[in-house]
This record gives sequence, C-alpha cells and structure tokens, in this order.
Amino acid sequence: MNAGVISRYVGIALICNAFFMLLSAAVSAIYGFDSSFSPLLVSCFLTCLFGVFPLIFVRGGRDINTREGLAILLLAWFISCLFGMLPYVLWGGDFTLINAWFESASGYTTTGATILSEIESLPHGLLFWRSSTHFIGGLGVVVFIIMFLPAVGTVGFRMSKMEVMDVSRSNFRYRFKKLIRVFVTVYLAITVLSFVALLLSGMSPFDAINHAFSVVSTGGFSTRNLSIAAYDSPLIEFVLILFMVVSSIHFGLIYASFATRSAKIFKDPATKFYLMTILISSVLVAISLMLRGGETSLFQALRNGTFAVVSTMSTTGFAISDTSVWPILSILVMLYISVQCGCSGSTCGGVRSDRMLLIFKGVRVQLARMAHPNAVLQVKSGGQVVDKELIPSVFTYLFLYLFVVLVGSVIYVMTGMDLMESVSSSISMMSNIGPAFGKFGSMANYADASQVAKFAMAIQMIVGRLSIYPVLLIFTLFRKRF
Amino acid sequence: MANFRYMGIKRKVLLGCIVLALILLISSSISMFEFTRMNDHVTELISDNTKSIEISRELLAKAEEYNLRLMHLVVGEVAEESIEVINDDEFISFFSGIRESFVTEQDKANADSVMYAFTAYMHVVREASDIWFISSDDIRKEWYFNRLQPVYAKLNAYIAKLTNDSQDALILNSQSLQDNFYRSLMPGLISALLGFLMVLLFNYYLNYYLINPLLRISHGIKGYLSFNKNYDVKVEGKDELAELNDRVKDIVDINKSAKKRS
Repeated sequence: MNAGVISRYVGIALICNAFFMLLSAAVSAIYGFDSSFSPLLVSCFLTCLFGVFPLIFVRGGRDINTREGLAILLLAWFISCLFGMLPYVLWGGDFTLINAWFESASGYTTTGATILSEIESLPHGLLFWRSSTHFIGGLGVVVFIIMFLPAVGTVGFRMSKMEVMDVSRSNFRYRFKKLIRVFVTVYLAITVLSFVALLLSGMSPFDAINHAFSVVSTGGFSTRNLSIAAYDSPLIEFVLILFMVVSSIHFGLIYASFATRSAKIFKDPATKFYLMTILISSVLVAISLMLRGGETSLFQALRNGTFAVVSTMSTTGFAISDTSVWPILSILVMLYISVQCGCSGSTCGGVRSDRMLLIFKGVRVQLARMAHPNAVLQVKSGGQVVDKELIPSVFTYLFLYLFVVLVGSVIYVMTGMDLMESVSSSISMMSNIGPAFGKFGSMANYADASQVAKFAMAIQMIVGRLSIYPVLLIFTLFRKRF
Repeated sequence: MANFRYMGIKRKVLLGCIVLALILLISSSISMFEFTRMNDHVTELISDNTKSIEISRELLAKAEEYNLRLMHLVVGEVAEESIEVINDDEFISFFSGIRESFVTEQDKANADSVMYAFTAYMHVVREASDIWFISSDDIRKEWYFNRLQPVYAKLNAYIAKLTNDSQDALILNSQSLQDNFYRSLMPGLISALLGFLMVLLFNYYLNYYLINPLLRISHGIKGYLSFNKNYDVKVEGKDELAELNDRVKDIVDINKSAKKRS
C-alpha cells in the first residue's frame, strides 16, 4: 500500500472542499463580510495548502489497488469531516470542538442533525458552508475524486462497488465512466430544478439554494430554526416532497427514463416498492393522527403525515411538525421507514428499499421451501431470477446494520439517554436521517446530548454513510493477505 | 496539476517549504489573533467587574457617611448646617449618575433598584427640615429611627445586592473565562497540529521520493563496483533523480563494454 498515492487522492478531495469554502467566503462577502468571512477564508487556505501538498511530490496516473481504494474512500470521508470542522471552530459561538465535529460529520454524511438551537443567528457564509457540506457529501467525496482520476476505469469501478448497491442496475446498463457522468448530471439537474421551484414557491434566493443543496443530497440542514414549518406554505412543502422523492430514487434510472423517454422508473421493482411504502405509511400515519384527534382536518393529517414520511424515508429530515409527540402507531411506522429508506444509487442512507424488497422476497421463498421441501424455488425481482449470492449478502447487511444500531443504542443509553431516544437516535444516525424521537425530535436538536454521545453519533453517521462494509474492511488493511 | 508531474527536485522542495511556511504562518497568526482577542476580552471583563465593585463600595460608604451625619444632627444641636446636609448636591449628583457607570445589564438593573431606593430615601430626608426646626428631640429621634431608618436599610440592602451581584459576576466570569480559554486555544492548537502533520508528511515525501531513490542508486552502484552485480535500479518520474539514474545506467553500460574490449 502506497501512502503517497492515498495522500494524493485525499488531497484532491480536500481541494474540492477548499473550493466550497471559498464559495462560502464569497457568500459571506456578498452579505457584507459577515463574521464568518475570515474563518472561512483561513479554513480555505489551510485546507487548500494541505490538499496541494501531496500533489507536489506524488505523481498521478498510477493505478491503485483495492486496499488503497478502500483507504482513500475512508480517509477522504474522515479527513473531509475533520477539515470541514475548521470554519465552525474558527468562528466560535456554540461550536466547541465536539460540536463542530458533530456538525461537520452531520453535513458531509447528509444526516442533517444539528447541535444548534439558534440557526438563524448564524452568519450567511456559515449557513452556506453547512449546506455546502451536504452538497459535497451527497455527491460523495469519492465521486469528486473519481472525476479527477485519469485512470477512471479500473480505479473508479473498484471504488464504486463499495459506494453503489447494484440491485437496481437491471433496468439500465451504463459503463462506469458514463455512470459517473450520469450521476453528476442528475445531481446537478435536481439541484437546479429544485432551486428554481423553491424560488418560484416563495423562498428567498439564499434559502432556496441552501434548501436545494439539502434536498438533492437528502441532507436536512435548514436555514430556519423551525425547519420547513417556518414557511407555513403548502406549496413549498409540495415542492420539497416531490424533490425529496426524486432525490431518493436511483439516479441511473431517472437518467435512463429521461434519455429513453420511457417510464423505466415505474417498472423498477425497488422503486415501485419504495413508492408503495411511502403511500401506505403516509395513509397509516394520517389515520393515526386523525384518531388521536389533534389534527384540524383530514387534509392537515395527510399533509403532516406525508411530509414526515417522505422526509424520513428519503433520509432528508426536514420537519413541518413535531413527530416526537405523535401517537405510538405513527412512531412505529416512522421507525420502520427509518430503517428501510429510499433506493440505492441515490444519496439516501439506511438499509434501502432494494435490499428490503429482496429480504421480504427471500423470506417468502424460504417459507415456501419449508412448506414444499422438494419444490425448486428462486427469488425473482422484476421477472428475473436474483443471483443466489445476493440474498445472503443482503441478510448479512441487515444483520450488520441492526448490530451497529444496537451498539449505538447501548452507548447512548450509557450516556444517560432513555430507550426511545437511544434507539431512535441510533437508527437515525445509521440511516443518515437527522431527527429522532423524544428529546431529539424533529423540532429539537442534539445540543443536550453528552460529549461522548455526540462523538459516537458522528462516527455512526460515517459508518452509515459508507454502508458499513468499507469500515469493516479497513481491518483487512492490516493483514498481509487481502 | 500536469506541471507538478514534471517538476524538478529543486522546485518540489522549494514549493514544499513554501506550503509548510504558509501553514506555520497561518497557524501562528491564528494563535496570536486568538490570544490577543482573549486577552482584550479578559482585560475588559475584569476591568468592568472591578469598576462595578468599586462603585458599589463607594456608594455604600457615601450612604453610610451621609446617614451618620444625619444621625449626628438628630442627637445634636439643630443648626444651619443641617440644611446643607439635607441639600448635599455632591451626594445627590453622585447617586444620580451611577447608572451610567455600569456596563452589564444586570448591574444596570441593580443600579435602577438602588436609584429607586435612593429616591425614596431622599424623599424622607426632605421631611427633615420641617420636623427638626419644629419638633422636640424625642420627635426627631422617633422620625429618625421609625421613618428614615427603614428606607435607609432598604437603600443599604440594594447597594449590598449590587456589590454581591458584581462579585458573583466576577466569579462567574472567571469560570466562563476558563471555558473560553480552552475555546480560544483550540483554533491555534488545531492549526499547529496541522502544521505538525504537514512536517511529518514533508519528511515522508522527502524520504520516499527523494532520499530513497538516491540510496537505491548508491546501493546499485556499490553492488556493481564491489560484486559486479547488474545495475537495475528503477526510479519513477521524470525529475533530476530519474535523469541521474539514466546517466548512471549509461556509465555502467559504457564501463561494461570497456571491460569486454579489454
């Protein structure tokens, strides 16, 4: 393993971060050189210098092996989170070292959990930087790196196998180089379209660009203390619901549907399953809210229910109401969809609908085998037989996901959180959603969590963002054989 | 980026040093800036607190002195000086201007309470001229102890509260300064840490990309000269080291040919 080569690619990722820090400093300058200008500029210099340094010595163009790819993937995320802290730490305010680490990790992993209670008092430059970390994280530091890689073929493919789950690939076939272009094109298109739509819905240009960054990356950072509830606009909520759903569908499918002018999105079994889950969950939550009696009308119950369900399933985390005071049925539905979440190949986290669909189908086939031991039964998806090796790997992933959730919950309970807060926070961090239940509900923040809990949450966010496997594989780096 | 690929050793080391120097410059600037800011903040806070405490003490002393003068007049002979005492402009103007002397909102609020108690106190004091010139000693004493003393006690209590609150604020500020000290230390510490990491990286790059190839070339030459081993050292890149390696290979080839001929 060549440390020089790894440092070169991590350096490129840092230069990308420095570019967005510079953009944020420019935003700060536009808003009258607010208090975040110098912290952002200094952070930009430091990050850029650190990024440029390896490029001076390490030559590019060399192919990288799997171990180096894994190290680049992990270090790029981890070091980006560390350098992303700089503007917060240098600015001060509520940002202690641990708070800055939490906020930075939450931004890059597109979790959207915050430690801030007074978001609106932040200077514009820093607000833009928070949203920028979502934008960078959403596209994936790794994709940024691959864009700069000259030998995009082999290197890119090795790394993409760690980033993208390929259950949804049956409906489209692109070469890897094109897949990256497709991903970036769809990502930018959603950003621009959601920005324009939010602008037309009545948001200010600054709020619109920040929320567009949050929506496309399914992050959840808002520029308002009350999140989307601050606007109290059904139109803005509708626009956000639409773009949150779009951002959590496989980008390749979206591109293929537009490129071939066909309804490929709606033919994909994972997407159909995802959309059906949204529909059923929204209705269930609305009924539960109506039965409780707190809602003024069915429309209000559906509005609150649908927004919360879409926001949670897409792992965005925007809020228009306090879900922690909802009836227990709603909370249970929300907890389930917090685990399932959106589709692979998008920016959302969680187990993902593709895997969940295969788990259900796998369980059904297994039960049928028990009833008919001699029958030849296979798991099918979209009319095609699913690879035999895929089913155990999906179950393994679910097991690992639940195991990490359990470990996280135990840590949080030990720091003084109650059971509901611990479990919901752990799921929320693993799925990169943001809000949990109890003290850390959709209208609250994580300022009251202990230092240990905040640190552990940030780690859990990164583990969730990287879909567990690469983090576990890091241990193999220290072994002689791979 | 393309230019970095074919950069010479001299330029690489120079650029590395420049980057390192810049990091250290920024780190030290941040540290100095944070410490200066912290120092100014601490000085200002302590000076405000000390000033508040001094003013409170002065208030207490002046009120006590004034009240003693009044008491002296109550038990003594009523003379023309009692009018001067009652209309003591210096005492009145000192109290009237105290609000402006305080900086913090809490001190200002306490100063308002003191002013309120002072107004009530002076209102009773102004009755003195009527009572003293008309009444007997007993009535004067009764007025002093039953009428004036309660409002004086109230004034005293508010001044004492102002003093105590200022002292408490000083303690609280000291505690928050300890926290802020840790906060102000962090940016400088992080920058310094980055500088340290950069030094380690620089050391690694110098060793791996500059010194190691030199050692390998030297080892290769030694192997050829001592044991007539083949010279097969490979140096990546297109810098002076790669060029040096090619030249050594040429010399070794020439040497081999010369040996064969002889």
